[in-house]
Formats: sequence, structure tokens, C-alpha cells
Amino acid sequence: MKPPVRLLAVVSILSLLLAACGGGTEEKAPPTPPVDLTRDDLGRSVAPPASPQRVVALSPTVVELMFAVGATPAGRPSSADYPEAAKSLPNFGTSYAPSLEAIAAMKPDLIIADALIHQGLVDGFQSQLGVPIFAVRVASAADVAHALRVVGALTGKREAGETQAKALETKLAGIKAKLPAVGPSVLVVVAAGQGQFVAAKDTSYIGSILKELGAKNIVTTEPENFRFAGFSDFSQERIVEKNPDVIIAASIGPPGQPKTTDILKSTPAFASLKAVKEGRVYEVDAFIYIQSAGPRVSLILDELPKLLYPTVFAAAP
Amino acid sequence: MKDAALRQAQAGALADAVAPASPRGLDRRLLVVLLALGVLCVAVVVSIGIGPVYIGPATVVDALLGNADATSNVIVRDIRAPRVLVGAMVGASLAMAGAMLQGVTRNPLADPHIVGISAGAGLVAVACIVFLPNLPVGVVQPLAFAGGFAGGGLAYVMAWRGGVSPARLALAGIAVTSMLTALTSAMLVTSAFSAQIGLRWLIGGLLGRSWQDFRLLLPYFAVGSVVALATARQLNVIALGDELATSLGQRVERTRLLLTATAALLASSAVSIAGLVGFLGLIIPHLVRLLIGNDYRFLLPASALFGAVLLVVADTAARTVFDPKELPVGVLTALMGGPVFILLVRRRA
Repeated sequence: MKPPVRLLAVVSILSLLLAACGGGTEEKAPPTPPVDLTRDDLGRSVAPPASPQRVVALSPTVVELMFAVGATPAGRPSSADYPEAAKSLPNFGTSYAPSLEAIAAMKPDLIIADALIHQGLVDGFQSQLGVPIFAVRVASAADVAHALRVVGALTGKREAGETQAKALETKLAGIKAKLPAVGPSVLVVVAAGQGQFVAAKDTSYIGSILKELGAKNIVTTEPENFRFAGFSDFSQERIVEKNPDVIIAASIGPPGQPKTTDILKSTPAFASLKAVKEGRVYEVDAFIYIQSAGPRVSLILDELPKLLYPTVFAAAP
Repeated sequence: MKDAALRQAQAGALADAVAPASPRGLDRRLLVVLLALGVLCVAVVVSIGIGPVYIGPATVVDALLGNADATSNVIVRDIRAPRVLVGAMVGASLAMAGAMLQGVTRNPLADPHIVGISAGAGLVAVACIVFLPNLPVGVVQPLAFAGGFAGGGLAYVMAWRGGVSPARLALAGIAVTSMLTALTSAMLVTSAFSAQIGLRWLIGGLLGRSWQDFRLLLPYFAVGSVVALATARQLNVIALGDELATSLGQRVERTRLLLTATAALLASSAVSIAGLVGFLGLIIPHLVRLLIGNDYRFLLPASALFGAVLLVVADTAARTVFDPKELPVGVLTALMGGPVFILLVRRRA
């Protein structure tokens, strides 16, 4: 049995060398920013294992990032249901209140956390579990590319992470090249029930994408006070006052809850809004746009430019 | 639960109830009612003038007449005005209901939250929020109203033993309230998403109330207030005690039912629109008693006006002080009401 094994080894080394040569010729043009795996996005020093076998993803964002680079998490939060394959993974409770015992039972050798959700938990969890925890921050489209590289490198899928990140950056650059000089004013709003509306600021994930796309967010100075990062209460009065060109509406309730779009349209004070009269109130998927930042930003980049600039992007495939 | 001071004052009201009041006393009490009316008018105008978006006083006046720019028109006429007017009606209804229930049960602690009305309305409203979130407000409101009426009715039936004694009515109300509140809590804790919305309803608030809510509330408010004011004299008599009232020719049980039903009508409709705004029904009547005594012919209209003033002012604070965050006004009424009530209790004792 020994000779075939040796032969196999020789063949695989040769193919690896070939792959490396091929990669080398392609990478000439753009220099790739180096990925530092000793310091995570919260600025903590981490010593992740070189080739981890069981990686637990602490937020839906991390789950999506891992699948995007071709890695499979050993555990997920209960709310992570994308892609389809994620649903069959064991879960450890919610992302906001993960069960330490359930995570320990998954026997991870690396945990990837979400810097926006778990900043208060990572150090405690790391010392209690004795497993390195690496936090990634995804608060903008640029962060998604960065996170794809980091998660790829962490999970031994460096190539795939790089390819995905490149594709995303190319796509964004292509859209930005076509943007008109002046963008519309926009409100990203979620109806939180009983007459309350919360809106995204520039500092939110969707807010940063809108900014990249040249739109003017009408929500500027309000302090953040909602459980989604970068979101703030925004009163009916202010919405009427700012009168945005476009309203992006997302609904956070389970199926059966009224949609934000319907609530906006049935609120009498909003009947006179420009966006309502011109039919420019668009319902979007709250998971993709707000709750689960990540690789599906490419879906946002497919849809949002058409909503903001119908004359420029509507014809695009 | 015997309140000697209240008893004494009620005994004093006997003369008013039976014989016409002295002209001098009448003047002072009428003056307080007129003063309250004036304060309410000022409060309403100022409240409409204040909000997260600054609009100058002249523009506010123009906007009320529909002559300002489109934005100011909408903010003043479609957002602020209905909310302030709904608040005034809710405050007035709760204060009147509280005053009537205190008289009927002869219990200074009585208010809509204690006799099962609020708990009934709360149970139905939270059930709607949790199980039927797509029901329009035009359907939820009458259902919550019916729930409030049923809650009060249940307490009344449980207190009935060939007649309703005031003490039994208050105790049965407390029992009904704790049962219904337990069911409401059970629904809230088992529904992760709706919990926050349901909680905000239970605390009570006026966020986003529109002309639609105004139109829903107006008929109940009109009927309830007219009946309440028309029965003020019977309430004076019944507040003296069953024996005295009977000896004065009052058909006690029938009157008590009519008065309780009117209070339930006012309170149920108010909480079905604004949620369980706390403490107002309890403290406003006591505050007014201090000012003008226990004659319900004056106590009821004055309570209505002061209740309206308190809720309008509290709601103005609720939507401006912590801007852009809005507090539910129920938080403020309870926060402001607590210390005031303690002060009142200590001054009377």
C-alpha cells in the first residue's frame, strides 16, 4: 500500500505547485491587503489555530461568511437560516444570548464572533471555554470584503475568501462608476409597532451602503437607541419634515405581522409624502438589508441601485 | 378602607345634594371649573405648538387654518392636533371614571385599574397584538372596549349577593384584575416579538394617534360624559351610604349599576385607544376634592378638565423631553402621579 500513497503525495504536491504558479501570475496587478490573524476586529490579540476543524459561528453574519468561503460551521445561532444548509446545523440558542454549555458541547477549536453583537462576551467566553475567539466586524460593504478575507484565512479557505472579496469589490466599483452626480434623499425605516418608527443612520450597515451609492440619508443627527446598530427613533413629524425622495421599508416581525410598507401607506400623515405619492416606497428583506450583514450584500447591490436610480440601472440584468 | 375625612366631607355634601348650594360656595367651585377650562385651552394650544420639529407660533396658527406650507400643515393638523385632542379626551374620561368609581365603591383607592376594567381591556388588546397582529385599529378598539366592559362586568357579578356592597365590588375588582393580568402576562412572555409592543400598550401611550382614533373615541366620550354629568346628583346621594341614600328615596342598586356602567364606558373606551395610562383616574379626583370638595356636580366636570390638562401636558413632555426617544405617557403619569398622591394623602391625614 505504500507506493500508491507516495505517488498520490507526489501528484498532489505537483498540483499544488502548479496552482501556486497560476495564482502568482494572476495576482500581479492589484496588491492584496495582508490579512492579520493575530489581531481581531475588536483589537484583541488572538492566536487562532492554523487549521481548525470545528469552528462555531456566533452570529448569522458569520454563518453566511463561512458558507460563502466554502467552510461549514460546527454550530450556529438559531436565527441563522441562510443558506439552506445552515438550518441542519446544531444551534446554541440566539446570537444575543448564546448558551455557553451548548457551545462547549460542540467542542469547537475556534469560535468566530460578531464584533457588533459580542463585544461584551468574547473575553469571558474565551477564558471560560479555553477556545480562541476571533471577532469580525461587518458594518459596511467594505467590511464584508475584509471579513470574507479574514474568515477565509481563519478557516483554511484563503483562496476562496480572496476570490469572493475581489468579486464584491469589482461589483461595487462597477456600480459606482455609473452613479449620477446627484443622488436621491432616502429614508430606511422599520415600523416597530404602536406607531413607533426607527430609521437607519449613515453609521448603520445599510446606511453605509446607501452612502457608497451616493444617496443622501435624511437621518443624520439622532443618537442611536434601537437594538440594531446605527438605528434611531424617528418621529412621524421628522419624516414629514424631511420628505425623502425614496423610502426603503423593512419589516422585522415574524410572518403575519403587518408590513412596514402597509403601515406607512395607512398612516394618514404620510399620504402627502413625495415618496408615497410617486410610488417610491419599497419593501426590502430585513435580514439581507439590516439584520444579517454579510456576503448577501451582493443581492443589495443588485437591487438597491435600481430602486435609487431607475433610469440608470433599470435596464441592467 | 374607611377614610374619615372623606366620610365627613361626603356628609357635608348632603346639604348640596338635597338643597341648593349657597351662592358663595357655588361661585368658588364654578370659578375652579372655569379656570380649569381656561388652563386646558392654553395647554392644548401650547402642546400643538411644541414638537420634535420646530414650527414658529405664527406658522402653527396658519397651519391650524390650513394656510401654512404643506409640511407644517401636515405636522400640525394631521400629527399633533389629533394626538393632543385624543389625549385630552382620554385624560378626561379616566379622571371622570375614577371619580365615579370612588363614589360608587365609597373607596378612595378606586380607579379603572382596580375594578377590572383596565385589566379586561388589556387582556383583549394584548391578545389582538399577539395573535391577530393584522387587525386594523378600527376593529381592535371596539374589542378592547368590550373587554374592559366585560372585565368590569365580571367584577360586578362576582360582587353580587342579592345586591352589590361597595367593599365587595372593590375586592372583587382586585381579584378579577389579578386574574386577567396574569393571563395577559402569560401571553406576553410566551411571545418574543410582540412582547415589546404589548408592553408599550400596557404602559399606555399616544404615539401616532390620528384622526381615526379621535373619531373612534368621540362617540363613547360624548355619551359617557353627558350621562356622567346628568347623574352627578344621584352619585352625590349614593356616596353618602346605602342606608342614607335609600332613606332619601334613591333606588340604590339600580343607580349603582348605571353609574358603574357609565364609568366602565368612559374608562374602557379611553384605555382601548391609549392603553393603560396609569394613576390619572386615581389622583385627579383626589386633587380636585381638595380644591372644591365632594359635590359631584362640580367634581366631575373639574376632574374631566384637570385630567385632560394633566394628560396633554404629560404627553407633550413625553414626546419632546427625551427626543428623539419617546416615552410612553403612562410612564410619566405614574412618575408624576406617585409623589403628588403621597403628598395629598399626607396633607389629608
